[in-house]
Amino acid sequence: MRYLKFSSFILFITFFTACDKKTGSEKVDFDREAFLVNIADNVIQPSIENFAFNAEGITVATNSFNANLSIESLNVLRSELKEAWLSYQHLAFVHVGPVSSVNLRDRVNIFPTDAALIEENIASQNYVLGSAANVAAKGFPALDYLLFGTGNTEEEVLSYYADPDLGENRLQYLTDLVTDIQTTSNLISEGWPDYRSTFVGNTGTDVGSGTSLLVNEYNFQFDIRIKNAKIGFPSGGNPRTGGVLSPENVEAYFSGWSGELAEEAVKSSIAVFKGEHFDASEDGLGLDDYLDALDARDRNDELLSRAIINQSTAALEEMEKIEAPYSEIASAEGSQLVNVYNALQAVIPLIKVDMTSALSVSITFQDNDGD
Amino acid sequence: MVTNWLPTYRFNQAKHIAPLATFRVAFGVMMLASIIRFWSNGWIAKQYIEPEFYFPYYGFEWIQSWGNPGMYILFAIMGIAAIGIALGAFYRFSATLFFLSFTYVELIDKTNYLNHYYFVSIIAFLLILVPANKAYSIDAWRRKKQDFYVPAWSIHVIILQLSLVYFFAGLAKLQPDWLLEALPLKIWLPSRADTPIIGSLLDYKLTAFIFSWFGAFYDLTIPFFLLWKRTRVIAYLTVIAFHFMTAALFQIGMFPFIMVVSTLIFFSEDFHKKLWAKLIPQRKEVLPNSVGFANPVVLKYFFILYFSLQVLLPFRYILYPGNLFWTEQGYRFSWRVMLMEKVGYSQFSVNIPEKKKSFEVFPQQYLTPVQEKMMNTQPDMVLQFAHFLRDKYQTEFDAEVKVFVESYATINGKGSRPFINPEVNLASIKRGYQHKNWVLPYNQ
Repeated sequence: MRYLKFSSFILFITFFTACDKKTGSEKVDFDREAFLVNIADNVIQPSIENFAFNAEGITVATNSFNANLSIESLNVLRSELKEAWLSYQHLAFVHVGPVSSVNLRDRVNIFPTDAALIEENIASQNYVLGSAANVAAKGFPALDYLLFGTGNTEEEVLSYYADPDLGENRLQYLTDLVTDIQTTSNLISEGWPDYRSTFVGNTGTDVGSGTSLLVNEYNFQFDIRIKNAKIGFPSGGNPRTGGVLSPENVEAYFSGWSGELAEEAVKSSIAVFKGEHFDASEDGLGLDDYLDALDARDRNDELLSRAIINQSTAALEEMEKIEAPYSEIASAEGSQLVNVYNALQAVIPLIKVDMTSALSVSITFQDNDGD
Repeated sequence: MVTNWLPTYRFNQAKHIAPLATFRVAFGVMMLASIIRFWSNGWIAKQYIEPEFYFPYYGFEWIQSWGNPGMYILFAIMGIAAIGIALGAFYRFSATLFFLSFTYVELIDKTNYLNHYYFVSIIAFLLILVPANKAYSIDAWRRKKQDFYVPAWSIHVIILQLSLVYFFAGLAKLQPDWLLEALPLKIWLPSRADTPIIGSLLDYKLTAFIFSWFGAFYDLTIPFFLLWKRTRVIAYLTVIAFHFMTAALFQIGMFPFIMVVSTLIFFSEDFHKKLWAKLIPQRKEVLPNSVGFANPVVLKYFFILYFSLQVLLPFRYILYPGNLFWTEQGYRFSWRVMLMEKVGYSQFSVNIPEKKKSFEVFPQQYLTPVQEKMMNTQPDMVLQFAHFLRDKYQTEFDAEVKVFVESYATINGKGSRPFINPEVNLASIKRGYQHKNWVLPYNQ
């Protein structure tokens, strides 16, 4: 009997190798380590460096602004803020390792910002920026308020800081916010080299592996921080149920950069997905290549990677049609933002359902027998 | 009469207790190890204390978490009961206590449903009925009387139950996805390619086919190969190899080890007697009772009913229209193990017409990652969560609340598609065993 069993087992093998040679030699041909190395060295590392460079830029500009309150120094500071805010959009997609442990997203980009709380902090001079109570009173959105929301013209903004009573406090608060961003950036830059080997070394898909973290954070950023926070909340959320319009909830409400920031975020999503080098010089191994190696397909039997890129690009095109700041158009029912929302929503099942399924990433260490 | 259907089987024939005693000890020890592992991983808190909301089974809503420190006390009781089973101390009481405490915990939240927990529950139930403590036990020692003979049924019900588990698991694999496309193993195995030694093989599509076919063959035939004396040893070596392989590849916890020790019960009386002789040298044994035992007839009918139910339960899905994997109506308690890769996504929206309010709810605000993952693919859990939202916001706004869900799911990597009808107000749908017509058809 044991021979029967053994020979039937052999029979299976011969059956498959003999009558289906193609299936037999077919293999998932993908170098997971090279993929993680590319993401680590050509996507994450330069994003961190770029963010650090821009953080430095705001710090320097803030110092000059402090030393010399002028329209010129204000405009330099404003443009540095914009650069840094744009550079953040890329790093938000690769929220792994030190980027995640400093909790970059919550630390620098919670919007809408709480102007009343900011003013309260300034007046009392009694605040701890690191405390949970102050997440909505710091980071880029708070700087947005301080540099744009405190006056209608540049002169008015300058006079806000030249105020004989509170001017000093206001400058101090501004400086504290920038220092906090600089500190965050330093922590990330310093932490990355230590984390890199962990990221690259774990080629599995368990919890904590590079791939699993990357995919989960990618989805969170796309679904919650872009689709919902940047588009959904201000424009009334899910259009089918007719949400409440709240244009004041857009990102960068005061400067009106909402559109540029959101577009940058979607561009980053595509670049990270493709594993494109940060300077866009080369398209390295990315999630798209991994999905192709697995021959992952969408419902229409198209390559899943194609479907994701096409749909993300379609969303980007909808965004590019919008010229005005989102706060202006979000006040109209059924605005163009609803088209953007719908286009982004069409990406969600592809990345949250099809991609995670194809990559088989774990979300927990707990037992699971697959049902 | 039953005896007429099975003329050669003597229900009450006297059999040596050794196989049953080994099973009792092995099961008790495995359960204790499981509890310790569960506790030390911090899962008691994660699964039964921290969640804000649980998914009770229909009709068992009265079963609730005991909180902190209640859940720890419950697990401690379970642990002591497991020791009682292993040692054969206050055996019936211990087995009953274990069955009740274990089943209670499992009923708190269906998120944690696993086939092997269901298996543990029913084995614990069977253990209450069998006299596994008549020898090699504290109870026998206390009574100062070892009784080495038990009725045949007490060993055979466990063998039959184990065989059913394997056989149905095998039967469930006889379907096109598993056999012709090697799904879902074709998805899972490449993701395990970092596994030591065999890892590089897992990238080959052929490997998924071999595993799939071998898995189906194994499940369908292993009870028979274990039953037959001539193939038993090689079959058992296969059991070890098979389960250790699955343990290395998948996150399935203690199950492989539980099966490895449980299947020892297929071995002969002599094998187990020798095993026990090494552990506890015996002086004299009570002679077998050639007449057999006089167990109440009611027990016989009980087992006929019990096993009929066990055989029918996995087929109850026939009563529902639609794709079983998609609707999951009749999926649980049917030994469909490792059979599909299913992932879903859901975003709920709450609508309060009176207050002209509507907003989106992401499940992660209220659910743990595991709860969310499980809910996203199981319609009955989606409905339960919708009801949770309805009740919560009804109280908060003191007005009628509508709940809708936009959801997608994919089975075996075949492309995501809309899952639950987004136009249906889930707040108004009743729970129950009726067909869930608000789940969109798979091939819409």
